[in-house]
Amino acid sequence: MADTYDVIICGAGSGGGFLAGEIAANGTVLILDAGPHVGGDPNYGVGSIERRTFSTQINLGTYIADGIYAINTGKAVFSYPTYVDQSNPSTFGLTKEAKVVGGGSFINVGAWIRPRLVDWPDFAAATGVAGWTKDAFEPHFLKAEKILSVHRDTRDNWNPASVLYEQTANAMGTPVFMTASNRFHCIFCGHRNNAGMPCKYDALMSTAITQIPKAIAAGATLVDNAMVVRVEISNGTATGVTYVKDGQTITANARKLVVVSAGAFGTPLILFSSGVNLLNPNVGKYLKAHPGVSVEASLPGGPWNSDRGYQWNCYHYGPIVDGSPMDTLTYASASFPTTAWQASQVGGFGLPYKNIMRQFPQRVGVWIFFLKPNVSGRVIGRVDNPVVQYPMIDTDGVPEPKMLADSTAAVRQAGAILKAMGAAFIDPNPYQPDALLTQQLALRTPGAGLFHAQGTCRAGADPNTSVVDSNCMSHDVKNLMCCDASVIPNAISANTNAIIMAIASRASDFVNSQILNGPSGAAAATQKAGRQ
Amino acid sequence: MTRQSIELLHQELSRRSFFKRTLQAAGIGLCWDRFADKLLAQTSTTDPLAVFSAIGNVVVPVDQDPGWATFDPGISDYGLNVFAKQVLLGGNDLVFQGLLGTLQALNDVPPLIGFAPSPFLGMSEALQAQYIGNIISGQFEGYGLQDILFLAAFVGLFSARAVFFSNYPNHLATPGAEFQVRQPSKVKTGWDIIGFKGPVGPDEEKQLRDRYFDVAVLPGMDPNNPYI
Repeated sequence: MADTYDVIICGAGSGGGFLAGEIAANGTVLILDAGPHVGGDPNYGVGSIERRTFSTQINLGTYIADGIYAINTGKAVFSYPTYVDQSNPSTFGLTKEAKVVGGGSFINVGAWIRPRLVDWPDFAAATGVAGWTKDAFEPHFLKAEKILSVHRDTRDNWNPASVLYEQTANAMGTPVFMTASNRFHCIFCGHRNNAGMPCKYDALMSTAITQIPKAIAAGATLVDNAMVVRVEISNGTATGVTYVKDGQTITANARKLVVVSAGAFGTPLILFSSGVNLLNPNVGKYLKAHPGVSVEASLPGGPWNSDRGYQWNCYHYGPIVDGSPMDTLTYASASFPTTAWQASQVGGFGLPYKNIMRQFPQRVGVWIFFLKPNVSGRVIGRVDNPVVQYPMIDTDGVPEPKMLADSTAAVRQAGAILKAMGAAFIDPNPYQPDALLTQQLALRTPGAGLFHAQGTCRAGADPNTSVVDSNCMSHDVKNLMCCDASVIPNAISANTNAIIMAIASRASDFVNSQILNGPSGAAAATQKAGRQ
Repeated sequence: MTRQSIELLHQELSRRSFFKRTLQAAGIGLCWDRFADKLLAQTSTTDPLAVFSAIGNVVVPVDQDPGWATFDPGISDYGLNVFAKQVLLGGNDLVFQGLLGTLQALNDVPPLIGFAPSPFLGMSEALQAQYIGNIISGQFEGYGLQDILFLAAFVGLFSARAVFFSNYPNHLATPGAEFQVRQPSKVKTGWDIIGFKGPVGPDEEKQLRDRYFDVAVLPGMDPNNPYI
């Protein structure tokens, strides 16, 4: 007989992991994750033996081809085949998503940026989602920031290039802000320059060492390396989850709720495999992402990087037009962090990068995200054959116009700041004619891939334009919730980590009060102890 | 091939699967190559892993950095049995067996065609590099061996470079090790120029922890950001 739980959570990342920690005291909870649980008690600044060993393995992200469609079977990431160029559909890239208990919170860079004010009306305008306002989310951000010890590094611990960039940009009238971070107790080992590896020193960044241990302590059951096959749906109600663990297919029953929190790609794929797309054709649609591009410069003097570390010390938005900044987000950094991060993402890590460094040892740079391109992609396929389509380039080879306009303006803005810093070489050259610059950006941007995927099961008031309601509950299937980046109603102006946890916090209030009907905190623990 | 059959092929096969099937065809095609039957009819005692390792050693290092042999046998084992087999050949064991045969052939061929008195593994490094270079530039077409040798050389070179340079400098795991410690090297590389020291060892880890652990930070978000 199958095990039965009050709530089953599919995916223990930023969303599902955070939610589990908030609701586990009020009911029986099963947490499933496709990746491994890298165990051991939290040991801040040191790391458990398990995490230290795991984070040193060579093939954490090995891409294993599996027929035409491919899914990663490396240790810590999925690799989704991603098509961004309609003019050349035979080329495709791979977008990595976390496959480890803790999810993106375990392998991201720890940048904690909140949405811009303009995002909240954007959400309502896109889907009519109710209650998604800055004021409504404020307590949830504060709660998550307390749990994750979100903070800013003092300038003493910035890399020198970031300090100079901030001073120069401010002097030129571009307001620069300090980047908040959720990696308290980071010892700046530099290990994670090869992005995609979990932190092995237990910087306080992941739900794997915060909310998930809290959930387990409250009685939740965690099953790792469990690949969810589908959500079981009977008479329009989610009744359980079927997953594969160690070659065995297992079905677990859910009395009250199934939460799908497998990420902006994984969640719609599970819903596809469960047939929810037959009830709601919006599943997988409205994929939003942040394309990006880097600007590199050679700056006399230095050294501009700190001896170690992986730092996004400060950021600014695009040029101000009509009183508002343009829709770009620019992170400044020194040579090593920017370039290595870019290189590891686009696969250029290694000898070519070393040669570049030999050629330009005094490099600084910025990384620019384009926050609100006027393009939506979609996720199609199933759990076992995923495909991501994001048409950055149309069939004539022309980039999406707003993305191109934003990127051109942002590159010129960053280039002017770098030049004022004394840069002797800037690439791409921000002063070349528009036609040449846009041509360069059109070539570079698709190659860099997709970042911050979101919106594939977006929240809204109308089932005709959204998949879940304002409380993240499915419009079409009872007892089914989505809780991750997939529910973000429209493109946000920030990394997705912060808002995912705020969404999870808000969802946990709904689950605790409306579904589990239980009190929270100490009272719940007492009640549960009494039940047992 | 008629236009209709080309269009059918285009409909049926993605370019990626076409590439994969081309490799399969290359592996199967070995059986019909006029030299391959003589080579493969005999039982070669050459260890394909040793040939793969030697190819890696030819191309790494390309300068004074620590080389391929520094990490052997682990890196060759990973490069051949994981990267080449799983990534390049899609995990197809039939094709992989064909690749092992071509690696053996790459070693055994030089004395047979008079290129060198000894097999590949017995050559000097300079001659090995010359041999690989000749293969890449298509010098063995006249011997009917080009396809066999090129497949082995291509897979060997590609896998060795991809594996080594994606894990530089010392990310190969030592079984059972608590964490990786970089092997001593006084060679100055680009990493040294920009000040990156590689994975931390125990002493430096302690220094970093003493320096940064519980360092004073500013709480929360930047209050000066009016846009959030």
